[in-house]
Amino acid sequence: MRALNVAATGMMAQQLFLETISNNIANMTTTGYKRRRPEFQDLLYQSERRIGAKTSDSGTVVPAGVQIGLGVKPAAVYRLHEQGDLQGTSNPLDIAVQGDGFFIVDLPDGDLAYTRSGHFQRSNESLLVTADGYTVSPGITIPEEAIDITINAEGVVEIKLQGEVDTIEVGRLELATFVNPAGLEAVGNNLLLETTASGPANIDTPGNEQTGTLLQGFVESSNVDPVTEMTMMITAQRAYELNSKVITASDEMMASVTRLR
Amino acid sequence: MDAPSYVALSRQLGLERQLAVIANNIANANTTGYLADDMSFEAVRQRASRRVEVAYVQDLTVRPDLTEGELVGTGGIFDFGIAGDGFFAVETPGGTRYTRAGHFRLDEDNQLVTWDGHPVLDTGDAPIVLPADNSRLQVAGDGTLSIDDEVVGQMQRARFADPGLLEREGAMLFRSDERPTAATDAQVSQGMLEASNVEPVLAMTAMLETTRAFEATQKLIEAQHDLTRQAVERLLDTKS
Repeated sequence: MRALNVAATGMMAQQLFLETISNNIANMTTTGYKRRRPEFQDLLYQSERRIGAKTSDSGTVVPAGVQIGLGVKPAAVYRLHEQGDLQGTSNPLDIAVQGDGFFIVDLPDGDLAYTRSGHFQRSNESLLVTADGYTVSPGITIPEEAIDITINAEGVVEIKLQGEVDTIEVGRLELATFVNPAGLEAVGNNLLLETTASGPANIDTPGNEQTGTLLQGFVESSNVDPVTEMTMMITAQRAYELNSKVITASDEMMASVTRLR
Repeated sequence: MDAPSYVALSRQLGLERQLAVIANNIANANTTGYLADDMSFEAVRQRASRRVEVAYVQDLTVRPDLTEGELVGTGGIFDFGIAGDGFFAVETPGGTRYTRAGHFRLDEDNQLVTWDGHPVLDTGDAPIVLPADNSRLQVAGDGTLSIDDEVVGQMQRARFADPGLLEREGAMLFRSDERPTAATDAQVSQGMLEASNVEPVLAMTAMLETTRAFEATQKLIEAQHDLTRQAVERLLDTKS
């Protein structure tokens, strides 16, 4: 019975839908999290009566044949890189990006990762690091005796020392942009990796139209909208139920066949 | 003598395929740009005797239901919904195909492609290449893509005289030997995707009808079986 397998593919797809939604809701308050959306596609079709088959010697053809679809498959779970709301924290090392840029993070294995989460700290070596202790590229040292840290919209980090009047520039943050940010590979911990689908990173200083500008004392909250997620959850759940009803229906049909004497 | 059984059998096989079509519609209830399938049957007549004509059931067609699905906002700048009788044209290794699923992205050469990587075609059947700085991409109702008032391309909106004749290929692609014309009435909107046009209520009732029709046909087979058995019993009775 084809309907049974078709309904099974439907149930699996709706389950994936629900899993994506639950991950979005779980990350509703994760800094810099971008919501995900699954995309589905129809599976192959079996031709029971082929379109364009000859129906007579005089050349008449079947105008629209009988094609029976075999179900659904997940095509992609993609991220939507809309700007999230900016939330004030008054922590001088919290930085939000307004625009398309990503912060660059040096992973311990030497590779680069990219993140929208600008919740930074100072390491024991006075380096600017992420919450996991990875260095924020290009590596900015903020001396221990600094009393005031300012990071302007163009990413220039300036400090003020005790008893001094002038500020001292200690470095400038860089941002990376991608042709297709949805193609970045998520590896958890708010980190993304470059792939062939995303294209190579264009590293630039903040302050131009492509990278966007920085805002000190703010973090970017996730762009998950609870109302959207709830309505999608209802859609997914009902579609799941519908598919299970198809299984019941095909089961009933098969049962009536086995009752035949 | 067994004609009723065979007529019932042809009906049941058809119903089984119809259930598969309904199951496929329901499985694709959340698939972007999916058009539901409608199945219809035809009668195949046979003269059983001089006066009696028997009609068997045969599948006639499965045609896409062309009702428009609602447009759902996604906020993606490369998500396009198409309202009206238009299809996006995409280039695949097997030739030009058509789709209503406007979930596109850029590839590494800044080409506008479908999620599977097939280039989206413009009005001149050529792929659309966007400039590197494309975060402010805007699309007009007629599919014209522009960045800061500068036109960078126009998506093709293909129209078919009878879209019911399109052949399905899976992965949301349709194939046609017919050369499409420009769908001037179709409106493209950005940040939207067309939801599947499967109506859960209709699919549900169609499913119930199918299972009930299957059971009714089953009764027909049983009735025919009873008749045969009774006939055999009576014949034996008269002899004894």
